[in-house]
Amino acid sequence: METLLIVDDNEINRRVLREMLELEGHQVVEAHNGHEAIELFQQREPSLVLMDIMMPGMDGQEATRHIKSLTGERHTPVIYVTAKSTTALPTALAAGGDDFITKPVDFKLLQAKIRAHLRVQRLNRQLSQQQQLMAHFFDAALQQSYLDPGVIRHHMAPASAFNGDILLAERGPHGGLYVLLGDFTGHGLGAAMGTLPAAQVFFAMTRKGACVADLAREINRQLHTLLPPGMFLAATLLELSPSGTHVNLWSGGMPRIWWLDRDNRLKSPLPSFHMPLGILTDAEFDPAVQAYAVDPGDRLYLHSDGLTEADNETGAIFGESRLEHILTNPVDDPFQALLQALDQFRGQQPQSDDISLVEIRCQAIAPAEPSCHDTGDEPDVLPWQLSLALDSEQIRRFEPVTLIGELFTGHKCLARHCNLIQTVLSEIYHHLLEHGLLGLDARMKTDETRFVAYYRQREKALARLHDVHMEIRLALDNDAHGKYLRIRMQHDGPAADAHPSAASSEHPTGLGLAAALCDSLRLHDDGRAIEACFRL
Amino acid sequence: MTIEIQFSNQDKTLTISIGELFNFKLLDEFRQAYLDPRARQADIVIDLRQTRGMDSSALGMLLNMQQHLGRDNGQIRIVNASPDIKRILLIARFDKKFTIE
Repeated sequence: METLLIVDDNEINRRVLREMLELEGHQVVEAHNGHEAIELFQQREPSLVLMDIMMPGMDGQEATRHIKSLTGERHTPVIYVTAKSTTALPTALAAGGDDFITKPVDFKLLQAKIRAHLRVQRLNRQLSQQQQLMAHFFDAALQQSYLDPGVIRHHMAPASAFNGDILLAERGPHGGLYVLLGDFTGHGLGAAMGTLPAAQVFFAMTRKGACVADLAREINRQLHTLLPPGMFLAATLLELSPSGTHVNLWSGGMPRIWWLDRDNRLKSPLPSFHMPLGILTDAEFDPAVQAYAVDPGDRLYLHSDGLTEADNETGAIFGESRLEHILTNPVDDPFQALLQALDQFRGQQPQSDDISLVEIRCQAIAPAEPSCHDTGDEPDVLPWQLSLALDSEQIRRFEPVTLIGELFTGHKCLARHCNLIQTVLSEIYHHLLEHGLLGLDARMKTDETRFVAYYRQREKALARLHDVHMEIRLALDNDAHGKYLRIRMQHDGPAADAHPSAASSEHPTGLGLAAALCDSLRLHDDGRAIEACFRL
Repeated sequence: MTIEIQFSNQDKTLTISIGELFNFKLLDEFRQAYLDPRARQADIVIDLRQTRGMDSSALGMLLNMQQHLGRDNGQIRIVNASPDIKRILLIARFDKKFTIE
């Protein structure tokens, strides 16, 4: 049942309408004048209003204007019920009324009009529900952004409910910051559609620590596939290094970036070198990135062209020279100064394009705290052993260390250490192989030309290897101090000379590096065997 | 692809990006990257964002590069090293030769 509001100062008129509408199955509320109408409108939220125009106090036209300003996005039809020859009708309709009917009221016609307007209203409600749903998706996609106001300040003003400008920010896995400011062709829902795939690629790749070139390439590839021809994303993508001292930039089709030092002195404008994203095929795409060294406290100002092209009532545009003037004349806060200047310039002029301004403050940025670090390790583990015996042929053909490493990635308590364990295994294995079985001299590796020769010799010696064996044994176990991995490798080749200290002790490499990573490391059997213990 | 190189800003910066494993298997590719004639004038950046593991052969390769290009300590930057990789670089005291970010 729909609630309808009747507004008329004449009691007989109200009663006649009420009876007719109640017969139709509507619920009816009545107001005597404009003020009462607004009050009841807010209290009862009727679906439709029947409004007399000529009333003492606030008239129907004024009341309609108020009601329409209250409804906002929610469409509530207002039908004027008016004397036949009123000259007020055109202005009354301009004030926001949707239709009219003349007195004496033709009830059949009024019924038809009410049904028609309620139909439009239902469509309107469906549309706005769907819009809300869409808005939810966009919010959820963009909310993941890392927008610490100490690092990044932003002003995003869409021209309509949906923003065709897009701002994404995320910290890298080792710290640092990625930012994407983009501007889809056009504005409104159509322009905003591309936001979702772009955001998805952005967050998936930045969390893995992708480089700007790869990020730009992948977003381009996705948008090229998804966007209709003629639609694209002008975008600036940048990565601030974890130390806050370097910026890698890929920018296509965007206004230049303004780079200021900590005292607001202009360092340089950073131009956009590329085509917008989504136009070129993957093969045509140019991922070349610009690299800049920045100082702590430097700021970068990014904006969409909606800012410089914002117009005022006289049709003048804000323009790049105004922007440059504000940024290059030192003020306390260029970000606020720019927004104020823009506000003053535009006045009451409605916005015709999405406007975005972003300020990035260069500084060291730590990685995100792991949300819930997995310490769900059991206190101890089921002990196991693994042993491999390789003959000469197998030593030539396989990389046992890499293979073992691959086994570890699936093992809960080893996976966390698998990179370092692999380094330890690699150092021990290659030490035994190269200086034991292959008889290579580690001292060769200390100078540049002989370093290469060393690896050439290694190749040749490996090809000649015969009648020797290497044994690798790993054992996972617990003791009073926790879990550990015991590593033992040995070969049956000649005894190595008193183990030659490889590189200079200034930079421990080889076994020195392995020993530093392990709890203990010992050589046995004249250097033919090495035993080490890695605490987990 | 295990090593990618990229020059930027009119050849002023050479970024050498290393793949998942940094070891002697990359010896030739890595040398080729820094033997590029443009590398002589460029700032060198070693990007380890994809690198999960490395061993001392990689350390040797890095030292060789520094020697070959005749760069002062700290001039060559190593960026985006994971905590594990950073630990290896610090054990080898590479922070004395390179800027490790």
